Amino acid sequence: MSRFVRPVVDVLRLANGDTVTVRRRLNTGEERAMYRRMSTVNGDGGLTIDDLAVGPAKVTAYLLDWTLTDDDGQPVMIRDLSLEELARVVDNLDPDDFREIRDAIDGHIDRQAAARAEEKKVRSGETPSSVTLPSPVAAAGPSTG
Amino acid sequence: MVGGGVIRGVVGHIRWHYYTAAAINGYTVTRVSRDGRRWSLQATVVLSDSFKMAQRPLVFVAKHKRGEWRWPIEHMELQTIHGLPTLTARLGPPEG
Repeated sequence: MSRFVRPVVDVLRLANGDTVTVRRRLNTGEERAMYRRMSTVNGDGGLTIDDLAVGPAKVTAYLLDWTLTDDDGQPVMIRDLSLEELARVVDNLDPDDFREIRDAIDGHIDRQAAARAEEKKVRSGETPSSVTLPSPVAAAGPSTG
Repeated sequence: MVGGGVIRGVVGHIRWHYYTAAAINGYTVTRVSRDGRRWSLQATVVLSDSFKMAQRPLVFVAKHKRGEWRWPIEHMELQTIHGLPTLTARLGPPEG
């Protein structure tokens, strides 16, 4: 199994039948960008999590598409938008609807984390791997010189 | 529905699923077969991710006023022509 993240999607159903299409997992770059968007630089140059930015950062990191429509019933297109454009569209949601999407994505993240942990447990049970490789001397056996 | 035999445009992308593997700035798509099942692409690449460009399947996406055209890439080569990174590809029938 590859150590690279495959671009697999999952569809999450919302209460009224709408759906959101999300990334199954983030790759390293996407995860780093998400953490950066939910952080602010503090006085000593370190990063502090900005609680208000956590939800929007997670939603925009995972969200790829949805079936949401505007008041005229026209689809609100978000596929292929840049992160900045997507964030602007998401900020126009009713706060309750944003929270519903955020909660759905939080649940998805938790389920994927649990699935990954289970997968790792099964894999490590099947093929135990040593943390360190044996040294050439140990691998070759004792020397009688 | 894709019309004429030669389509020229500016903004395009090479996609691997939902990822952008490369950004295109200037392209020419030419219909090669009369039945519209074979096309060719020559495009100038402005940004690319070599990992994603090595994945399959890749799709060439060209935006137009009412949406986008998408062609599956069957074979491609990236080379420098007149100092510009140029993608030459064989495309299958347009999707959708």
